[in-house]
Amino acid sequence: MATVRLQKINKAYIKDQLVVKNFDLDINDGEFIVLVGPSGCGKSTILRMIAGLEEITDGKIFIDGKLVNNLPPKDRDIAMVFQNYALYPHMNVYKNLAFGLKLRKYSTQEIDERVKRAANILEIGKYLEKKPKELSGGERQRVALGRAIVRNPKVFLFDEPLSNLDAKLRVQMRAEIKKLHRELRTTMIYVTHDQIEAMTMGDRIVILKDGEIKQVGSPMEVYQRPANKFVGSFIGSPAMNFIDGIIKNGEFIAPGVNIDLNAKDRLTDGLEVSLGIRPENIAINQGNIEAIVIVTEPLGSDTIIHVQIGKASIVIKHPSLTILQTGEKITLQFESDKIALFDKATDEPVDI
Amino acid sequence: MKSKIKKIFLISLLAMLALMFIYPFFWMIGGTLKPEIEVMNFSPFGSSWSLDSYRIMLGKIPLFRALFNSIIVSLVSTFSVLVLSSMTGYALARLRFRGRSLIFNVILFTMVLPFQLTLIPLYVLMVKFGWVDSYAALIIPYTMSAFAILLFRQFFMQIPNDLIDAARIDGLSELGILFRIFWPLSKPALITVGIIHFMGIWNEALWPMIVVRKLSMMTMPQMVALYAVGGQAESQVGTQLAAATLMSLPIIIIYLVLQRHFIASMATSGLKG
Repeated sequence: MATVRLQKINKAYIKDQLVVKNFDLDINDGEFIVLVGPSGCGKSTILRMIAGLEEITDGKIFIDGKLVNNLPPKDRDIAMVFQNYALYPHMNVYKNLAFGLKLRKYSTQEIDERVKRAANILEIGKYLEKKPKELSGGERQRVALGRAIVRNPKVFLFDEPLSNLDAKLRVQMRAEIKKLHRELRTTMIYVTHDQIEAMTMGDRIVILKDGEIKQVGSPMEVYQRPANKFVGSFIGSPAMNFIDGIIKNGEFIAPGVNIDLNAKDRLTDGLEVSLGIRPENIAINQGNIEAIVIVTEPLGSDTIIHVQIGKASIVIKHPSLTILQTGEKITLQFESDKIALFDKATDEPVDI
Repeated sequence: MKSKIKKIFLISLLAMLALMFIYPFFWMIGGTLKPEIEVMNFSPFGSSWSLDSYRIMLGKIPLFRALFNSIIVSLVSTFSVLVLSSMTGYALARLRFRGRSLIFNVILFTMVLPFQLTLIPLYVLMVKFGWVDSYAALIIPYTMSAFAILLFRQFFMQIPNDLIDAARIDGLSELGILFRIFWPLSKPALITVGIIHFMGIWNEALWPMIVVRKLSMMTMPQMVALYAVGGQAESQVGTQLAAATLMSLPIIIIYLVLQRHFIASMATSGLKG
């Protein structure tokens, strides 16, 4: 159990080319924090710097209040789970779990107890004598989790642990890791590129782009109040819709769209903005925005409808089965309290 | 029908080639058992059998001492090559440091230099060190091998990075990672390097001839060469062949024991035999 504090972390592999820029983050004791972002955003690098596998170019990392910048990985009291499991192929499951403890000179009895306990939690007791190559992907990842658990570390680090699993197993393991967190109450830092994993697992989410934090917040916060256009487009599936337009007399104007925002006093005339609206916040066959149906994708429980408004392509998530013909003209209404505006020049949200 | 004829033709051709290859070996063994007068006959089989050639040969030269020397030299050198070359290969494959590719290129370059070129300077060094007529002269120039370094480096580069990270977090040092994680995973490379190097140094005759004069320090190939060419065999071809047979025996035994691994390693280490 520990806090993790990252202070003004910078990382450059090649001089003056920062892959992580001024990264500041305080992680609370027992918190499940998810770093999410597109590939190459520096999220794995941050995790590896916390683990001590990567040197820090500039800044300070504290684990449990202790500066760890110059500590090797083994002395940081952390455990890490890797994307491709990283189990030792020549050792059976038992030895894989016991290896780290053996190196730390635990007694045989203590090792045995810990391994058995972890095996119990993860239900891998019956595989203990097997080699990793005899196990399926899901079983291997369980063993990798076990290897982290037996150490009873201060912090768990996960580097895209579910990316190699098939979709069904991923959902299942997602729940198991979450359950594990509830039981152990240990600080966990989880890296993923999958925004659904981030949304479903994290107490807080850190959204990264190009080595910089774009937003930190609870899943609902970042979903409902994205701090910028990137967060809006990255979090949520299908992604948030954006329409470029201009403000005039408190109204949002774009080709085919004219929405009164009732904010004449607060919005500057002539401001160029992007209007953001989530697919589920658009009602069909209501309102006055005219749209042409391009394609419908029935998913069973709901329907994804792609439409065209003026020049903008918009995706609608309609909460029932509706089949519309391509080329059909429909009207739309945006839920006014769910509309977000972003300044085109600064990418920052504009208060309505 | 046509393909069957083709197959028969190919098989007989290969069988003939194999026979051509193996025949001198049988002839050598046959020659040691035949009466001296029949040794030069084409057939490996003689009119009677005896072990006289071996008896005469062993009476004339201290072959067992040479066998002992050869075993010591080959084992120590092979072990050292496995340890030191895998360490170098690990550093070149897995550690980031300044000048890494330069060092690697220099090591590669030494592979193209023929041994005959470095022979004289190396001999001068041995004399200066006072190592002539010692195990040091026989072993130390063979404690590293550029070929082994190259093979280990290539093999180690295929081992996933996460495995090293996991081992570091588990608390292994770099040497610990090499010997406790990489070695168990690199059995094919270790066996390949081990056998190739062992064969090479076991059969090495030129270098021992240069740095060793004392009979008690000589290795098998040197002793056999000296015996066969040096006049002690008194032109008795049978006894010369007996010495050669004894020399090749350990290699053949090792190969037969390890051949399954050897062929498998040749296939998996990406090295074409």
